[in-house]
Amino acid sequence: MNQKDIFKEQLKSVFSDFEAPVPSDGWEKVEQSLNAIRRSRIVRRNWYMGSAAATVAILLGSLFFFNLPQPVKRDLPVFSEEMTPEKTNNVDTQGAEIAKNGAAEKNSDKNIQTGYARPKQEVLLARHTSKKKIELTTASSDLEKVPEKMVTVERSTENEAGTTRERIVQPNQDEIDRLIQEFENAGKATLFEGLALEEEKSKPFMLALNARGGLTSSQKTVNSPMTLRSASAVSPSDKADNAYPAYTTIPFNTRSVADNVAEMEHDQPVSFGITVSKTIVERLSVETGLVYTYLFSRAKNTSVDFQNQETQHFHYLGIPVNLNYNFLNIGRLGLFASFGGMVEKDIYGEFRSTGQSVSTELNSTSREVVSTRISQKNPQFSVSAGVGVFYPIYGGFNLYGKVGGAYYFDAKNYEYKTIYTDKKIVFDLNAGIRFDF
Amino acid sequence: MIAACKKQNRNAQKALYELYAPKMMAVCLRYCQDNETARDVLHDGFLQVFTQIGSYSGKGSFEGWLRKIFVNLALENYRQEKKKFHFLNDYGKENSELFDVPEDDCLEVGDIPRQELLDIIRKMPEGYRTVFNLVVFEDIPHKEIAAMLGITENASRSQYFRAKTFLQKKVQSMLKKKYI
Repeated sequence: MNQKDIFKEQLKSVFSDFEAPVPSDGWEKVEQSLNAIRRSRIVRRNWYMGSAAATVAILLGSLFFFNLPQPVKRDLPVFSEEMTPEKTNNVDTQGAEIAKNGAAEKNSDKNIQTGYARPKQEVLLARHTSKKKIELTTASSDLEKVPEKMVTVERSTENEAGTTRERIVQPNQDEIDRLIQEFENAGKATLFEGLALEEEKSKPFMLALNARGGLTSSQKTVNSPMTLRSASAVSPSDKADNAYPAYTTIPFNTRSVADNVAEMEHDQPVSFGITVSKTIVERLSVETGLVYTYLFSRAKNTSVDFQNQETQHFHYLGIPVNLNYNFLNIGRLGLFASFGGMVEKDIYGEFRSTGQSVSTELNSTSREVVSTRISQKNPQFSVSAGVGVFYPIYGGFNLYGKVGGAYYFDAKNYEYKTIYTDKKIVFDLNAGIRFDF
Repeated sequence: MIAACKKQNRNAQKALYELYAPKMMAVCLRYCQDNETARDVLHDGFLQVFTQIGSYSGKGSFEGWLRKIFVNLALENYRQEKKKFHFLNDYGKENSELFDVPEDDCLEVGDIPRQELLDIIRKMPEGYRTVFNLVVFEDIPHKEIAAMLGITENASRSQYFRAKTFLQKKVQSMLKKKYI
């Protein structure tokens, strides 16, 4: 053992069992702080649970309210009784006839089909949507048997041949269901189903441009010095096995440096992205793309003789992978749920520190400005979930918005504090435009 | 007791505090120049212990695990102090000539009362004291210390050498007084 070692060993042995008196109220203060931490955790946990419960309640409420899954709408069969025998259009030649007479008809209703010239002959018109319609003939006898189940509307149409009067007979819902059931039993149901599927089938690909703004920021003001930087890059959870854990995890908030006021703020993240989606099964699509995210943080320490301000910019590029499920349509409005994840890596970072010290004793002022390029060591992984709406505006274009949140995993990027390191859950609002093709 | 502390049992936490606080206070006093800061570090350290005790795996010495927490808090305090007063001391200056000086004779510190040794250590300039503590009591190589404190390895060696010289002079002075 050399002299150096002897010196160290001597000192170590001198202090090995050394104990110093602790403040008499030490435990009481620790207990008070622990109680404060517990209360804040409970509040935060309740908030998260409340948010999650509200989201689930809204989703479930939507499902129950709209009684999902909704059956294909079949409530639009219309029975038309032709009162003027002059008109003899055939079902199969309807399109041509309409084209021929279209100019003359001032008030033609294209949902009305006069299949036969004979009076009392009626036509069942069944329309699934505003776009698609089919015409089917049926016997009028059923209607005549149950006149009390009908609602009658009369209207007239003027054309070159004179005035045509039509009596529209609209059955009520029970009658509609019964007639459709009979219709289906007759083996023609596939026509309905086919039309329904054709109507609801979505385009296989979607290209989207979107912007995302975080709804969560982080602000902290304490009486102890704070910095965005840390001299160590060791996880707090690993500190049992590592020599020096991250300084960033140190709870400064109880430090009692009386003359120091420190503020730290992480702004809401802002993102822009382009994504492409592919429908994998009906209503379910997988989405990926490229997302740019900007993070900004600042810290400020102010005391009687020292002021320091730090700013930090990080630019990230990320690749998301999401599953989107269109769970509800209300008219043209669609609701979807989204779940997925993203991996992000910073592509550029900058740290700037401006410090000014004033020494009254020496009557001197010292100013220091440091600006450095910085980067995070590890990629940032996150999982996200949300619910959103989309609305078709023109052609294949849809406007959409989504509210949700993301959980950011511990990426062991302790060297520089960001909202990802200080806030594990960040809520966000997405909006964009989507093109279906 | 540790298991109970992981369940946030207050009685267990209090017992653990009473058991280890005096030892950890000694660590804090070695790193911090004034008693007020040492008390703050002790307080913050135990908060960190109780909030993160779940991460203690049971492998290795629990006291060693505790000690690392307090040392790191003290270092964080040092970093902040360094930011404030960097212009007042010569921290970070490298003087290669210092490294050519041979290691000093073995210091006979055993004859000096512990409290007086502690007072000498606490009177060291901030940079000296921090590096000195890390080298002597934590057995950390200069290369790691340099990375931890954001200084060069040579600066770390320089600080340590100066700390030893500081201690040597004080000890010799005390011994002279003692034996005269």
